[in-house]
Amino acid sequence: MSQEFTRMERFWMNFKLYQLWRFLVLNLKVYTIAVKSKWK
Amino acid sequence: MLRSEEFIRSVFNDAGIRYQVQTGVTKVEPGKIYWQNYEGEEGETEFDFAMLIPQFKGQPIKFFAKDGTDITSKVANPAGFILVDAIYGLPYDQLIKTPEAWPAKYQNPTYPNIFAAGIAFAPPGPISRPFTNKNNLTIAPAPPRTGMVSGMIGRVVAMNVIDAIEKGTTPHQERMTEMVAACIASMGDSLWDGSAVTIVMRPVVPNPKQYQNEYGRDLFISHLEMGLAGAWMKFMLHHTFIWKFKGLPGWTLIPE
Repeated sequence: MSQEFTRMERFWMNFKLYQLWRFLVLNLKVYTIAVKSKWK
Repeated sequence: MLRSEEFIRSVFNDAGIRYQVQTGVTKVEPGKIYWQNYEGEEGETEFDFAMLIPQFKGQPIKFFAKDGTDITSKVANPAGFILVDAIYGLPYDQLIKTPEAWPAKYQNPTYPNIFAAGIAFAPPGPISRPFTNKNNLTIAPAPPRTGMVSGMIGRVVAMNVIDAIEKGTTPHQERMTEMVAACIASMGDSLWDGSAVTIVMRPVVPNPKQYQNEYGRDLFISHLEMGLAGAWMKFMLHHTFIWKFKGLPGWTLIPE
């Protein structure tokens, strides 16, 4: 990647359907690892 | 793979913000900052608005025993951070290969009833190679211990304090070389066209013994991305955090 975001990157960053998918994935990821660490 | 430095440059360029990386500030005057960079070059930058993060230091508190003797050197390091169950004094090259050097229980070895969570404890050293330029100016970031890391260390300490009182043991532990943390940096809070950077890191401090790659981190979990989803995450985090603070139903299920 260069030192600026490309048009395509900007598009994906604000594409609602894709971002909804990322929201679900990120939540799942953060929650799973945080809970796993919690019961050490 | 995108390095965080390249990403930060892209974000600054995107927002039209001039930046200088690998630079240490030596003096600030109204409207002017004096600096030195990695190469030892000196310069000054004029500003209308600046945000500087000062050097990370503890409070110069003196500690005394019941008989009045000064025990400060057993409780805190010269910078004012509380000494805990870490291995101090290792040179950087050895420290990076010794994940056990990072504290597990955040408990003072001399006074086991003293614990230090979050930014209060003294880290055994830096997490990236310290750099001193030719003019002897140290340019090195401090290990991150705020946000989720503070919350998780706080949980370990709280659970150990409970067990120490009830059972006389302190079984809970989590080193920063094992700990996973997430961070969301907001860049516009609109739920329609806002943006935020979501960073997930495991472990917070690189552990090349466990993760044998050039970063010393779990590359499946460690992740950085920017987009609208981050703004939604930040919004959700804000509300769940306050919910947790208030101890409302289900608060224990909410991560730190």
